[in-house]
Parts: sequence; structure tokens; C-alpha cells
Amino acid sequence: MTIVVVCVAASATELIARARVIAQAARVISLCTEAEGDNRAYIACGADEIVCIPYRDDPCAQGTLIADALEKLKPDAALFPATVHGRFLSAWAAAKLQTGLTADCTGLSLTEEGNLLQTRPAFGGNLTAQILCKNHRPQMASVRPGVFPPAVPTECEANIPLRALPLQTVKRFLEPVAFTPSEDIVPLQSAGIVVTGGKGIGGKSGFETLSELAGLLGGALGATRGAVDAGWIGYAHQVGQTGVAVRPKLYLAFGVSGMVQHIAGMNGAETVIAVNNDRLAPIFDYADYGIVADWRETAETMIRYLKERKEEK
Amino acid sequence: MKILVCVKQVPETNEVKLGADYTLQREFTAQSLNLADESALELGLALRDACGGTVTVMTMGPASAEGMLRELLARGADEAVLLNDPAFAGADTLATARTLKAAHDKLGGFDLVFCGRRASDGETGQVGPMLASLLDIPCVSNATDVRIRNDDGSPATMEIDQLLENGVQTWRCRLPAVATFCEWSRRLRLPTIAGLRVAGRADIHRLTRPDLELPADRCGLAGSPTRVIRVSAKPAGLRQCEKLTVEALLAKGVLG
Repeated sequence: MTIVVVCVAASATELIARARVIAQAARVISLCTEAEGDNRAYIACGADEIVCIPYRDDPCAQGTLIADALEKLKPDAALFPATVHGRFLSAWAAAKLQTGLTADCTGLSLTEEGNLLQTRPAFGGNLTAQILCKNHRPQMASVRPGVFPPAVPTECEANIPLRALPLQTVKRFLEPVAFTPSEDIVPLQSAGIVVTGGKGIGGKSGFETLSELAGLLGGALGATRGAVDAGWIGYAHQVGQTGVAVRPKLYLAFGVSGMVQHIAGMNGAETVIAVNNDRLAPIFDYADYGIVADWRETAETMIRYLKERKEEK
Repeated sequence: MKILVCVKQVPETNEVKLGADYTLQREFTAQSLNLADESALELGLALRDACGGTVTVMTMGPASAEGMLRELLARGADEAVLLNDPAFAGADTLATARTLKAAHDKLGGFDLVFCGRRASDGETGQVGPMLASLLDIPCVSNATDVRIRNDDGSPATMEIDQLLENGVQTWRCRLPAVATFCEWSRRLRLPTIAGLRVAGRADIHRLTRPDLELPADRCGLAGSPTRVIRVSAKPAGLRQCEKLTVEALLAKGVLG
């Protein structure tokens, strides 16, 4: 069995490590573009081989090259990091190859027959679906950064040979014009503490309270898809299957019901505290501590407590 | 300028009904227009208002989707196309993209194809880029704004802003092209009285599988390379939850 991991974002190392776990005997190929810096990291994370293809500053052309490379490598499976760029490349390449693609997988394993069993939240995000692509190759899947644990690199040789693949020439589709860096990057993924608000917090003003709490805790402010779709807060704050997957030490969920698509983005947290006035909310099944109470009173009690602690110090 | 806007009806709630083969039973679930599609349609309408041309809205779905298409005509779309055939049901993203491509070609092609960046039910974001890949024309996903440059006689180009994790990348390309837009990029205009009057008696152009000359094994569930084999309500990773008061929690020192 051969698994290709398309290395177009840093989280590709998580996928290489995962590929190693699910198929110990498999050949794991790291497919890189020439723009990638330290290729050795991929070997250290478990790849057997690095195949290098030309870099294009044009996602459509890059996707065509990746499809061509997969056509030549003929792997059983191809995994993509589900960044904006990575998921575009995966969709573009899957259509060229006329094969199946499952977006934002939260679980990958092998069936007894050796097919890739792909798990993802589905149907509005409140059910978990298991998906197979039995009759087409490669079986393609994308995975959000942070969904699988980070790879633990091992020592490896200094000079790893790169295999270059001769590929077709591709026309240019898109011309880059300008890049404007975001002023408001939400450090959700690196945050040790995440404070998240859901539809239950009622509106924009709820996030002001939670923002104060997050600030006092030195944490980042998260939101559920429902709160983002309602326009209460920017998409950059979204935690979940189609937002950011976080793995903080402490996760506080206020007014979050606990839909499957949200659980997919926070269940890697070390400790989870859920606050909801509905004692039957599913979020409590994924929390270590549950407070059945009004979210605002609870948040304000926490804020007062943290302010008092600060003054004591 | 010929503009095609691909739209989708999505369940209004998260309580959905599934069939025996784990496909969504759309007739039993209240449906509304997918949020991101509102941005795609409004940007299409705004470009038409500025440059001239037509906006065609197209959806693949059950006969009941006609109501939504009529509403979009009332909001300013010029034509509406319903891709409706039992053979289209249960399509995954590739089978959907193939069906949209067949309809796109059948309708004579377009200068611009706009979609929402993802649907709120499937949330894959794959159909737009797959459609562009099948058409082999430029595509920008996750877009927030678009401008058309049509300077003195030279071929029209599109400038388009793509929202990335760390900023905004602006791209330029020739037409025809595909773009998928983020939710809240634009608010969709309201229906007008005149629009409602026109929409009530407008023809909805219905296309079936034979109309598209699409083989049965290329569309719907039969043409889908991926298959849902099992559905469960609870994801793994349940925790033992200790219910307590906020005071008890603070006393434990969990917040420091």
C-alpha cells in the first residue's frame, strides 16, 4: 500500500504521522513542491521518500501538477492538509483524477480489506458519517490542521535524496496581484486557553464579556459556527470541523450546544469546562466540568474572581 | 456578460432525516437558500448591473426547489434553471460537479460562474473548485470581493480577493472563470414588487438527465465515487462530566 501526503502546509507532518499509524507497512511518500524548505522534517516524521514537483504561484496550475504526479505515482490514498489552499488543490486534483474526495476528515483508519475508512461530521454537522471510496484510486481526503496530534520527529540522515518527477507543462490560470497580511490574526491554534461562545450567548455583546474573560485568562476567543453564521463575530474565531481545530490545555464553552461539527474542533483539549443552562446539552458529554447555569452570570463570576486574584498578587 | 450562479437549498435545522442509503431526505426537511450563496448571487447581480448581461441561477434538487428559484428571480436574477431528475439524487461532490458542468455546457457556457464557498449542510467546499477543474478554467475559492476590468477593447479580466488564514490574496485572471464566495461578503438584495410579479409567472427551465446527455453512472448516487457506509449520532471521545457550581469550580483552582 502506498499513501501520498501532499505537503502544502505545515500540518502535513501530522498527516504523515497519521499515515504511519494506520498503515505501518505502507510506503508513505511526501509530495513536495520545490518551494518547500526543510524536506528532512517529513522523513523525520515518518515518510519513506520525498518526491519533488515544480512550484507554481497559481493554485489551478499547481493542482494540475499534483494530479499529474498522483497519476504517475499511483498511490492507494492521497492526503491533503485542509487549509484554504490545500482543500482547493485537493478538489481540483480529485476532479482531474475522477476520484472520490472527503473533506475535513476527523478520523482515518483502514478497513480489513485495506480501504481507507474516512470519518467526518456530516448532514449539517450533527451526525458522524463513515465514508469509503472503494472503486476509485487514489482515495483522497483532506484533514484540518490540529485534528491529529502533532508528529514527533525522530533523528534521520542529513542527506535525503529527493526524487524529481517529470511532469506535463501547464498553462497559467491565475496571476498573483497582491497579498495583504491580516491585521487581526486570532491565535487560536497556539493558545493554551480558549474561551468559546455559541448561539446561547445571544448576540454580539456576549462576545465582549467573553473577550474580557479570555483576556484575563491570557487565552484566545473562539466561536461556534452558529455564532459566526449569525454574524456576531468573524470567521477567524470559528472552532470546529470547518473552522480551526484547537488542542488547548483548557477549553471553556459558553452557551455551546455541542454539535458534532463543533466537537470535532475542540475534543483534543486537555480539560473542557462547559457552561449551559440546558442540562441535557450534548456539550456536557464532552466536558470534564459542567456548570448548569446562566452563561453570563457564570462568566461574570469568573471575571470578578480573576480580577480579585490579580489584585491580591 | 453571462453570469451563472450555482445555488443550493440546505436544511434550515440540524435535525435532518436520512434515507436507507444515508442520503438526505430533502422533501421532509424545511429548506432555505445556503448562506454563502447569497453573497455569490448579490455579487453576480451587482456585476450585471454595472457591466450589463444576464444572471442565471441554477440548482440541482427536488421539484420543490422551484419555490426558492422563483424567490431568486424576484430578487433580481434573470433566468432560473432546475436540474431535476431522480437519477441526480444522492450525488457526492464529484457527481454534483459533473452534473453542473453538463448543464453549464448545455446552456451554452458562461463568462463567470459564481458559487458559495461551501454549503452549510455538507460543508465540503469542493463542488465549485471541482466544477472549474472539469471546465479547466481559472478558479478562486474563499473569495470576498470581485472586480471586472474591461479597459478599451482588451479582453475582460477579473480581479478577485481570496481570504486566506493569514491575510487576503488578490488574483487576476481572464474570463471565463469560477469563483466561490464567503458568507457575509455581500447581503442579498430584497425582492421587489415588480420582481415578485415577474417571478410568479416566469418559466423555470427544467433539465433532466436525458436533457444533459449524462450517463446514469456519472451522476447521482450511482455516479459517486464516495459512499457513506455508516452514520452515528455521537462522535468518539466522551468524557466523564462532573457537574458543579462555578464557585466549586473556582475553588478547585482550575482557572488558576
